[in-house]
Amino acid sequence: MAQKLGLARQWRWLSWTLMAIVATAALVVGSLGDSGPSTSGEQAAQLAATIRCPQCRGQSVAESNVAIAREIRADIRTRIAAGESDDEIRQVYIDRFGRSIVLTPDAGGFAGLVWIVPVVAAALAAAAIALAFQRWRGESNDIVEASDADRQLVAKLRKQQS
Amino acid sequence: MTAESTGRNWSAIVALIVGVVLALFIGLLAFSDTQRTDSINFEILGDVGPEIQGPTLDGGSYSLWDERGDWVVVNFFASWCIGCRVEHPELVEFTRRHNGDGVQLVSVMFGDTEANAAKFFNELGGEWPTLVEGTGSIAIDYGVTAVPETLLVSPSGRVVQKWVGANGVTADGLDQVITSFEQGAN
Repeated sequence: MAQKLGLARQWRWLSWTLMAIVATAALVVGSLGDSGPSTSGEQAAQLAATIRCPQCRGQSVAESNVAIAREIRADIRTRIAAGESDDEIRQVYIDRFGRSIVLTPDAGGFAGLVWIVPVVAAALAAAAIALAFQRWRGESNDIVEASDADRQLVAKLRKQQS
Repeated sequence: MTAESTGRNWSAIVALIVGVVLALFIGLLAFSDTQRTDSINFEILGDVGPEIQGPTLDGGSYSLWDERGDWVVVNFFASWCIGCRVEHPELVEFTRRHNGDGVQLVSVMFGDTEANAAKFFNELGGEWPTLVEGTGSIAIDYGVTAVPETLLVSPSGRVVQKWVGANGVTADGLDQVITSFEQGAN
């Protein structure tokens, strides 16, 4: 009986390990597998989506059709064709229009919390779940298995009743 | 310590963490400037004015950096812009007052076509260098967000003043600012 339980536990561990490997592999492929935009037009569109339209409310230059948004879109295409990187192009607009021109928050400073807090919250949640599982397992381990003497006693009582 | 009281402690810790995270997010939303929606941009003030170079509407060519030593009023305009039409007679008056006295005006077309810009000048008058080709990058270099926008470039080449608004600038207003800067320099 104990051997059977040990085998079941081993299988359970194996399935959890396999699931962890598959999940990790999926995350790695998902985050690193993207080779970026395939064309300069796609690159320009992706970059334009991260630049705020200076004349609009809550719109990127990719979405807006006001004159300055059109000019910035054309300027992005020209700069990409000239071989400038995304970061270099973003920096040009930050220099001209200020930090608020970029829609993605800063990675550093107080605004960097936007990136850090979700990761910390996810880690805390995972730790809390792991702790809860551990506690439930501890409680279940407190259940004592029936011994051969117990089984004999039960069998004897059943026999008496029948 | 009983299991029940341990559980209560854990609940309190989790509640505290959630509270701190929420407070951080509220603080972030309250103090972040990423949602700023004002369209007036004064980043360029104090910087050396980027080069304004290219062919002009009358077939000539222009370079701002060749004009060092003069006050240069740089006006961004479009034929479809009402404010530009309102201020245009003031710019005509301004150029009439200044002829070879070290104060000049250059216009840069913004979000428009050369044909429309030519029609605009034919209709409203004015003879000063007006750039109409590749002007989008010039507008971006100067942080222009909407027209009319007018900037004043000092004789040393620095941008010292910027006017943004539906009613544009006036000849008197431009002269007053130039005079005040000249007096300040003396």
